Amino acid sequence: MAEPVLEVRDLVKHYPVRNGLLRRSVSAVKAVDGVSLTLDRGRTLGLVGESGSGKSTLARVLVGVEPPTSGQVLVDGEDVSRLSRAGRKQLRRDVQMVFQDPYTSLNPRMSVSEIVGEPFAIHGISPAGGRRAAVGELLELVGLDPDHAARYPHQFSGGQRQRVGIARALALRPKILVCDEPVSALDVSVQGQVINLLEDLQAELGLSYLFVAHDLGVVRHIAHDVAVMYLGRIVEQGAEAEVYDGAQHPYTQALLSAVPVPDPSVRLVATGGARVEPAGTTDPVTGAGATGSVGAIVLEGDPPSPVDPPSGCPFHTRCWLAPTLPEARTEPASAQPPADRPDLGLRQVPTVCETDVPALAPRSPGTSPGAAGGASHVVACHFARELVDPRVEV
Amino acid sequence: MSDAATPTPTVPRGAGASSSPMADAWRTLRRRPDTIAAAAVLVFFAVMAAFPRLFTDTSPRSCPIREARTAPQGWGGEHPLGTDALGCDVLATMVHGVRPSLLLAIVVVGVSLVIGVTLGLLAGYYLGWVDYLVSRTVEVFLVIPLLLAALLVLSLFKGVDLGAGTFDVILLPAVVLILFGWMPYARYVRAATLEAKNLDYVTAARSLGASDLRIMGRHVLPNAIGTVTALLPTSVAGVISAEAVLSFLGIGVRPPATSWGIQIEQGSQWVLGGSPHVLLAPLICLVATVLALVVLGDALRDALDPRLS
Repeated sequence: MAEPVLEVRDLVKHYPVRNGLLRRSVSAVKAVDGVSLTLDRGRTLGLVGESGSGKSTLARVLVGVEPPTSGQVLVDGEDVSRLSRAGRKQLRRDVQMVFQDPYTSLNPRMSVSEIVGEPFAIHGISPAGGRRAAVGELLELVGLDPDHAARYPHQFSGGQRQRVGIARALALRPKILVCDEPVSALDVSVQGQVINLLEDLQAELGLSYLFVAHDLGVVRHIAHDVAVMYLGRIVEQGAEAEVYDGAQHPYTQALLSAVPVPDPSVRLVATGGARVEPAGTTDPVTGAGATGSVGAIVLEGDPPSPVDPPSGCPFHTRCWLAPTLPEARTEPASAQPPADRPDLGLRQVPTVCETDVPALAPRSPGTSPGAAGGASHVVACHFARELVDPRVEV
Repeated sequence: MSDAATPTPTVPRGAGASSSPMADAWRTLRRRPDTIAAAAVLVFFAVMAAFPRLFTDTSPRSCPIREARTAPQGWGGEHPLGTDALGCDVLATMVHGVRPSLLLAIVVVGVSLVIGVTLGLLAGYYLGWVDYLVSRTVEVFLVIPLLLAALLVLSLFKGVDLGAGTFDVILLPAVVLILFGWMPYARYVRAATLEAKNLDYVTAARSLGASDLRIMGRHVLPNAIGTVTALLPTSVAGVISAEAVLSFLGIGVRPPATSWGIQIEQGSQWVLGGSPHVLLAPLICLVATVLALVVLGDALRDALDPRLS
């Protein structure tokens, strides 16, 4: 049943860092560092992660604005990089993008009809019934009045502008829409309208979405599958319910615990940062008691630089779980860490976390009693396990 | 879906909202009296440039030295605006100086603008070696003093007979001033291009498969040209006064043709010598022209920017 419309294999995007008189490439920003994912027809894949985790870069590579450093992007089984120029242009019609900021994504000097009609002009298409009628249809499709086609972007509200952006993306009848945080710049009240529009369009046109967002609530609402990115890699991926209810990677768990709960009776108690006991001291059955729930897991520090990611598991420098494990070392590995990596070995984490890169692998379902974690739910962690009390409601 | 059903009421547009931007621009221009006044001033000088005989019967070349520095005699007198240090009629000199002055200003600003905008756009858009080449060239031209370059051009054209046609008399100053006048436009446009090309609508056009030419012409340039249009009216004034300096070296507008620049240059020597009118007459004309261009340029920019109309 699941037919992949978009496949990404080991996609890598490095930006060279040039230095010195000869502009030699001395190192690289590893924005996307070996990502593989699959998007099925008519489904939505949510891509979440912190700022700087490489989500937007991945989106830009997928729509063809940036060339990948290595790896493959297959649209309907066809490798994009092997296509000729004309073939790539044709393929651009299949993958289109919806942008984050509706105020910069529309050219202020073009009228709405020019903006929405531009895809036709670029590809030299004369739609049946004329371009004017086609633009009108597109505007109607996204819930705008076709009579407003002569207006300019500044005469619309943020939500309306985002609809114009969606109409432009739909003009070439794409199969895939890459939505780069399409609602995060909008009012909360308007967010829902745009999300509903996207869902309606998916049902109507059979679109597939790659939905990049940092708002976990929005992703849970719209996505069928979820992938979590950290430092250019995917650390956990699976069906929406499995990831949200049975998160196994400590990073995912930390993200989920930070989602605000719109219920004043559930107080998130921020306790001691990384030292939080994930099992909590609360009663696992009654859940949120008077003393509160599982505290928000606060990660220490900023994500490490993607120029020089940590060895082994990229998350081990901030992982809240690793130091609490019985496998963790009891004292720093070496009294004198190497000069270039002063932080190495200072945190008392299991050695394997510092040396081995964990592969994305399905975890044994035995550890998680309720989860129907099939092979589709994969986690990149040596010690992946569910929170004993994953009381995280989104 | 309420936001979709109703348009924002904040910016009501006229009934003809569906007409073209140019028609809109014209409608907006018409509604401003200062625009009309500015346009009238420019039309007045344009007519003067085309038909100088309408304004004076005196030849600017008849200069009886005994009538030197006559005070203005008012309308109807033999020398309505007096005469200059050599006895030439000020009004006649001024009227006959309009054509070379304005032509020089338009040619210099126009050609420098085209060169500067093209190079700046290419440099800002492609960066890399194109930018390196353009930016270094701009820097080289910026550090060469204008007068030094003018002397160089002068020696190059020494002894070449350029003729006395309308364009021939302004050829030398035009070459010098274009050669050393295009750099500001290139720098401004390059900076604005750098800013505009990373905006999402450019990415959107690129993801749609638009060609570089289309992205530059339709998306980057219209949004990058704004800063430059504000520069144009003052450049016109700069060109006219720079020409006076060049004429001092003998590569200005070629005699016997006259220009405002030469007249201002000569008149400034007699301001304290009892004949300020020799300076004031062309100076007032120059200021009026520049002011009119400023007002018109402003109005045009406002009218062409949909956000301000």
